[in-house]
Amino acid sequence: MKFDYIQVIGVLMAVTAVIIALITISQHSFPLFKYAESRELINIREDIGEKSGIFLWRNRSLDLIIQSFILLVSALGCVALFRAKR
Amino acid sequence: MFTAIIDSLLIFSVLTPIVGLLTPKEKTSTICGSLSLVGFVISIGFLLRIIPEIHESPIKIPVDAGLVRTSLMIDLPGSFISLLALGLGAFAVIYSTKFMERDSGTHLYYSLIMAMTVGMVGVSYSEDLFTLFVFWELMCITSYVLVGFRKDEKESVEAAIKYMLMSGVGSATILFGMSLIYGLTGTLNLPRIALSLEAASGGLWLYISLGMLITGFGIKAAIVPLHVWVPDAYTASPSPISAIIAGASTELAVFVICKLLFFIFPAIKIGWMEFFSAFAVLNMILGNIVGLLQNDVKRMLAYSSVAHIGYIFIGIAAGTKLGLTATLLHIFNHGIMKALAFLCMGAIIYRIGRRNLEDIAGVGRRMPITSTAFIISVLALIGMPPLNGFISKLLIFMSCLDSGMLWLGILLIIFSAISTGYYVRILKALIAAPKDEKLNDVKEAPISILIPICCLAFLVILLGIWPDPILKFAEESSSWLMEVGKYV
Amino acid sequence: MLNFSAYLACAITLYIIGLYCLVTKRNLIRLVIGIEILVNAAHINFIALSAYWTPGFIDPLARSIVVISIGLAGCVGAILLSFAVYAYRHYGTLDVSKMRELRG
Repeated sequence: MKFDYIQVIGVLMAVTAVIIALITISQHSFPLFKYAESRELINIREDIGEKSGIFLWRNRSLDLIIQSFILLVSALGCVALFRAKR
Repeated sequence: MFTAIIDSLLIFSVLTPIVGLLTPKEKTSTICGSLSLVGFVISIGFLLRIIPEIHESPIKIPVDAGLVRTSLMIDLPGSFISLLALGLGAFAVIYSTKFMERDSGTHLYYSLIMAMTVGMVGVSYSEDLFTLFVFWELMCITSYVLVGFRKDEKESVEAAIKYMLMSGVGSATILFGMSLIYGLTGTLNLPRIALSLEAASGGLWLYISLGMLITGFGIKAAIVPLHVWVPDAYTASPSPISAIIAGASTELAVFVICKLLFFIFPAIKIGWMEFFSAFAVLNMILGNIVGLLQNDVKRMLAYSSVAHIGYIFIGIAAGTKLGLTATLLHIFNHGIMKALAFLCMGAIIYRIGRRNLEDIAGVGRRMPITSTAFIISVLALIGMPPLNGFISKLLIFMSCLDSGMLWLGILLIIFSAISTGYYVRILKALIAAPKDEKLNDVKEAPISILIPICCLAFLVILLGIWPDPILKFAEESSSWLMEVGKYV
Repeated sequence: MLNFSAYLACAITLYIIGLYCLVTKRNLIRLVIGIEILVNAAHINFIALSAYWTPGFIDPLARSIVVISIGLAGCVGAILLSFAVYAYRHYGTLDVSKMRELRG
């Protein structure tokens, strides 16, 4: 059987990294919101989708507009890449 | 909508391809270039008008009063870097009207340059980590397309793929680091994170999130094990794009690292000061020694960029206010010098078509203005006294003495001396007598290529003789960056 | 509900799988998929954190971030695949180890 050395070494290192990560997480547990102050939250009994949408458009409108601009620019970029030769 | 600086660039970026489709094929480059230049001039005009107003208090956008909703804040450090980005973008657009006239699709090219500048201005002004990420992605995506714009050449496509894979990993790592910070503090607003983490005492997860953020931004900022895309991408992209990426995009990544370190993580300062001195030494060693082995001039300039990022990190490793001032000043000066060097090399490639040292020997007699500007930029990169490179290197050395790291200062001087080894080869090639008949019909570069070169060369000399305004600007920016209280 | 550490371990495992995919695979399309896996690891971390602030409440900030970020990852993948088309036309293969023209 032909071994692909990079694959074997990669699998070994990935498994080692996962084991180290699991040990680290169990030893030093994540200090969940240790330094946080209170914020506005949504109760799960209400309509999550609609309230999330209202939050998104009220507080994060700048990011949404720039993201739509990024979509336009990627479309322009793909048109530029697939243009016909002169 | 937002501030006028970003608005005008957005409007012209959408308008240019529409106008470009209606023009005849031969004149597309000139007409679209002039239209984009109008957009850039309006932007720079607004920025210069706003600068005196923001000395006392920064302008918050959107104008709602609550801290939760502030995403963009027009303040002094951001204006420092966005001035550099807008200036280099405007010069590259003037340069490209003649350089790219034989390419097709130039109306999309100008639109993408303006979108990239929107991204850069947005990153320097953003006050919220997620807004920073969205603008950062805008800058990255447009730069991928621009680096591989000449898609019919093999090396452009290969360089673009290598660059994209590494930078994509960087963006994903930044997002993961941001999620860990969100887990610790519950918010992504930079001043609020700074206030919450003031009393932090270390802890493993703070270090892990810091490491991920620095790795992610460091891929773009050419920190040494992650710098592998730099020589290929700077060499294989068209010269005005090399100038923008080398002069503004890499510097912007270093500025964001500075802002994060001094703003959010001053609590664990002792940890990262030593790290950055190690990175600085590695950068200097690798950039200077591998640069000595190159024959291709653009690749040599790319490795010299890596070395200069090493000098900039010495300023960060010093950790004091003088160190931060020296860092910001060298970011600005290096951006201008490196952009000038790439633009001059582009003019030589435009006339001759080749990039090796042997092939450009003797071009100095045929193209006097371009070679003079090239010689000025190389002397500034070495650090000769009446030019601006000397002043920022001197400030970095003084900040090393100030914080007790004398060995870093000595290494700075030694490696500057080593770097003259490859800069002098460029000077020798320019001044030598032309050997054979190939260069006989080479004329001087056309006017629209000479205008940005002459303006930048004039700036290099002016900032060397009279550095006071820019020094004061850098000093005030660094005092804003080190105190969170001014933003709240 | 599970302990939060389980979700964090899941996100970090996905991150390591994404890195493994990028380091060992040679086909260009598999590298693109690797980058997408990396980005999704961060998304899972955000969503898990949003649910664990206070039991019975969720935080809409993290959800908005994930919604926007999914679009951004899609744009990056689109541009990468466009370049993959040109790489195939120039080199005749999608093997990244064969694209070694620029050296030094």
